[in-house]
Amino acid sequence: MSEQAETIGAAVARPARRTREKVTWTPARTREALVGYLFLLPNLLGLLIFLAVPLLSSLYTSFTNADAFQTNTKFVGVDNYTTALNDSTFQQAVSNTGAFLIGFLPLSVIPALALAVLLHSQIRGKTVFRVVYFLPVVASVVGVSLLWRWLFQYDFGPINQLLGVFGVAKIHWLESPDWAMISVIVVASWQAIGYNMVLFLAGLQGIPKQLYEAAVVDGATEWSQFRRITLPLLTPATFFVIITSLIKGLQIFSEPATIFNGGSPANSALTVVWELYLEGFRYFKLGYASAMAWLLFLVIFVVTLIQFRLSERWVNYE
Amino acid sequence: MNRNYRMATLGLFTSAMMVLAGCGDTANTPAAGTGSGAANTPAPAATQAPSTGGGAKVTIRWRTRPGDAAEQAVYQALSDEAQKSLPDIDLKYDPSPNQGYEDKLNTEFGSGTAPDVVWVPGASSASYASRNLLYDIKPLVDGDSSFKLGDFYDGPVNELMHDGKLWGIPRDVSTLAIYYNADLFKAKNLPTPSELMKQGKWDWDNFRSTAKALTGGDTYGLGLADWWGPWSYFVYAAGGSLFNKDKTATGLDTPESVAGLQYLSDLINVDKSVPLPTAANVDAEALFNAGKIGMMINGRWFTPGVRQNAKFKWDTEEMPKGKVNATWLFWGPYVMNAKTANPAAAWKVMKAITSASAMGKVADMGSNIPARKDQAAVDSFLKSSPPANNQSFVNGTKYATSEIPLWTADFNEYMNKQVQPMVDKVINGKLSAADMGKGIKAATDPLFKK
Repeated sequence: MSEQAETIGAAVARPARRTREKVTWTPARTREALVGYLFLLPNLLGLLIFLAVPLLSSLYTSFTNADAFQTNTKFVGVDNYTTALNDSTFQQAVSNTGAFLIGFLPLSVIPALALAVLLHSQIRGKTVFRVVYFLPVVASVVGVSLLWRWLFQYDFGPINQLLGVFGVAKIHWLESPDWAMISVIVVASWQAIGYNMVLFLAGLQGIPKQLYEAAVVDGATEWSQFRRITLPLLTPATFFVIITSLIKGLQIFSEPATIFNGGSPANSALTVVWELYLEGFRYFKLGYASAMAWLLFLVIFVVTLIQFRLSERWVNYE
Repeated sequence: MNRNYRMATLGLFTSAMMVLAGCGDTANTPAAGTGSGAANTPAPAATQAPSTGGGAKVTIRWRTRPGDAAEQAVYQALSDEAQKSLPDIDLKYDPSPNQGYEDKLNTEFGSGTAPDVVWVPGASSASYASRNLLYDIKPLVDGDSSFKLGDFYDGPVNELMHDGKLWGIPRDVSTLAIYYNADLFKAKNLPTPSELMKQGKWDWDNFRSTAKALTGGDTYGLGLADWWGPWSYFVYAAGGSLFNKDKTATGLDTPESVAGLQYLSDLINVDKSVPLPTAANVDAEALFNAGKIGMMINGRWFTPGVRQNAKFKWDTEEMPKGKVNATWLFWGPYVMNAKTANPAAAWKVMKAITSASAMGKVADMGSNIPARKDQAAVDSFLKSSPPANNQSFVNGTKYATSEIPLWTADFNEYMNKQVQPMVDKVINGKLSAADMGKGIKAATDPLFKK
């Protein structure tokens, strides 16, 4: 008896170690594993055919001078990359994309947060408002662009008419190189706010109500509650919103390209993805365009990596 | 265990079916919708019975770029009539919308599913030919005694011939002209462009003063779109050119080209008689149709839209004479796919859709001038009014510059990447034409093949 107790005690007292179990492949086990792989196969096949193969093929193409029709494809090493970095149009696209981000990030995150807080409180018709603010997200880019082209129209568009009521001179939203990018920022932010708002709402619903009640008991003001309870506990959602907005902003293409169908004034709204689209599909330089795409990927990768490292400092996971 | 196998196999089978259906051939999908690229949905692929032709019948697929439903109906009727004269060919008309037309075509060339006969803009024909995507039809033309190449306007035909090969047949042409709002002229008691033309006074000085006189309130004197057609008219009319003589470098650095661009910039920024142009035609077109612009520079394709939308009296006139008379001859050819299964059949189709009767149908629509020079074709065009002054378009063909397919560089790259952004700055008043002239050669030289 005592021997058994000793053995059991010794076994319990042994610290739990993570070791690789010695696996014996019985026929039953093999069959089970095979079934597992069969279930994975459809998704794996899709992933391979539509993701991995094109990715690797595009990486290879970026080191060649391929045009869209594969005539005279030659291996050119990193020429495409060095040409892109020295190309003034590409540099302009990069700085345009940066300018876009500077406007887009605050404009799509802060109002979304404000709306989420407002629509989280107990007000009448909040579901209706939530739906209304989310609608732009699901509207088609082409329809949205047509609508905003009319709104931004110089002589008769509503926005300039409204400015006129306040005595402000009309603005060349779509014709002037100074304002073209701002128009794109407005449209893109307008579309993105709804999506970010929903993400913030989800984050807000994870904050326990007792914290607020305790704060009220201690005499905290609304603003103080927001600053010291809501914001810190919302940081995971904020982190996610910032990362996805950054990635989306760096890849922005359909909004400027459909608003400025024939080209933006003096390429002032040309973004990196738009430029690589033109290079690949209008000027037939598929290898060059692939190099630009991989350069963009490097930037997004580095930026996201930095964000993840920084997040350890300011994101609180309860 | 058995059930697991069945589920797994069923799942594998279903997903395999979905993958295969998604990659299905959509060659027979009619172009519905806003044309956001080649959409590979399973449904159309399943419902279209691909007719590979039972027995001796050959399928020939052809395409144009109709601007609206009315134009598409005309071409469909043209196709149906051509089908009647080609009993051993199964003719399929596969139109594609304006937005993304060439992008879609490029994708199809890349995947080998492009139509057998297709219309392309004249300026792009060289890009396709130089990449070995087109079939050289010179042997077919030479071997066919019933077809005379001389029946077509020389300008486009010459542009389509290169290195002894012929890359297409011109479909139609259009010159650039001035559309004007006769009611606005009457209200301001000004002589119309046609009256000035009759007096021999339709020149740049009168053009500028007319535009200024028409401007006031929310009305502008002149409207144009900011693409190379309208703005380069000013370059050519001042004696300049887009390219140098043998097209190995830009021609926009000459003093004449600079003077032309500065004149346009002054019209916009000094006189303020032009609403700031955008790249899209539709913006200025909408303003003209609403009666807010006195004169508009546009091509013949604008006519159906004006007929439908303008609620005022209007007419057209030739472009005013700068240093010289100038206008563009826009043209577009039907070209043949290099990989067409049956060149002889495709050639029969090309002849049928460029025949005099086919061109007559298109001319009735009023959107372009037939590419055939013969008087019957011109007459059928002249009858299509309003505008009353159709002759203004035909007169322009005498001194027009033909749209240029560029063999020494990529036209789109030259124009969209380097030239248009600089011209945008001139038009916005941010760059003087002289400064543009100084920088344009260095910017564009690397694009030309040595």
